[in-house]
Amino acid sequence: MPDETLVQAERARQLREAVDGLPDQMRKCLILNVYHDFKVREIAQLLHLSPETVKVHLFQARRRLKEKL
Amino acid sequence: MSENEPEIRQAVMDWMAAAGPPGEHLDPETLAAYHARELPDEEERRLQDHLLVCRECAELLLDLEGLGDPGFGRDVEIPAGTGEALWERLRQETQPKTVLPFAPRRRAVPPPWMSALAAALLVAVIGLSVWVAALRQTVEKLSQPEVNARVLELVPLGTQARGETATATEVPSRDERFTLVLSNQKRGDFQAYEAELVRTGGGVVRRETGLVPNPNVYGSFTLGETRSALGAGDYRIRLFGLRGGRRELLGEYALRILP
Repeated sequence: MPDETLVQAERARQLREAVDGLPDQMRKCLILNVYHDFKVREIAQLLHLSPETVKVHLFQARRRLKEKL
Repeated sequence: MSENEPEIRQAVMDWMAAAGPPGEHLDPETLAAYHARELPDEEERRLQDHLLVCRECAELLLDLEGLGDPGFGRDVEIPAGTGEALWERLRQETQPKTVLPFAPRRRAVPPPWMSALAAALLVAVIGLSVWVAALRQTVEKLSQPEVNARVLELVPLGTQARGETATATEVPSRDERFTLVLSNQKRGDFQAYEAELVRTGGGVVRRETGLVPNPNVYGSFTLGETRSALGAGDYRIRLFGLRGGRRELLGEYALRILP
């Protein structure tokens, strides 16, 4: 069990670093969506982006984080 | 939702926990400038970083963005009759106000002394006008040149030749100006000479001082007179010589100005 805990902690650290390593706009889209539960249209308004761009950022952010897992 | 979503959410939570507190809220002017996309890139990035950690500012900005939405407010139900009520209120506000008429002005009653003063001033003005007109007429009359003004030679009373009676020298009626030549037979070393015109039965009407003997007719003196200055009547003219503060009568002459 201690090994599993360590593994989980390590995964969490890597994921946190992966979030930190995301491009600026991509990370902002992810945080506004995951942490604040803003919708794509709202994120687009907040960051002065098109909804399509927000969708692409969210898709790529999740894919990059999954790759770290 | 993928199977990794909880882990991703946790990673985002951890990242946010490390980001620290949001700090002060953005002021409305900055938010409005961001909404209008008037902020420089660097300041825009800092504002977006704040939006990540401050949900309040993010929602405020979304409200601001919603104001520009053409569909904003369409879902608000307006109670029936609101339009009529608004029109009625507008009519009431635009109705002309009742204008109160001015109270009639009371005519000021001048004090009694004002009328007396005005009358006195009027009389004074009329009197002055008449006087000025008469004066002007006299001046004009005197200003007219009189050619060949009469010269009358007067001899002292009591010096007439034998057989002659002492009569007054007469100034004819039409003569306005005339020159009197007073002949003098009394010689003397006088310092000055003067003459007095005395109306018969009256007082001195004129005094001529500083007389100078005529250089051509030795011992005589000349007086220029006018009818308007003396007036018609009988006059006596007395000629004096002054010496040592004393006045010595040199001769007395009779003159009659005919009317």
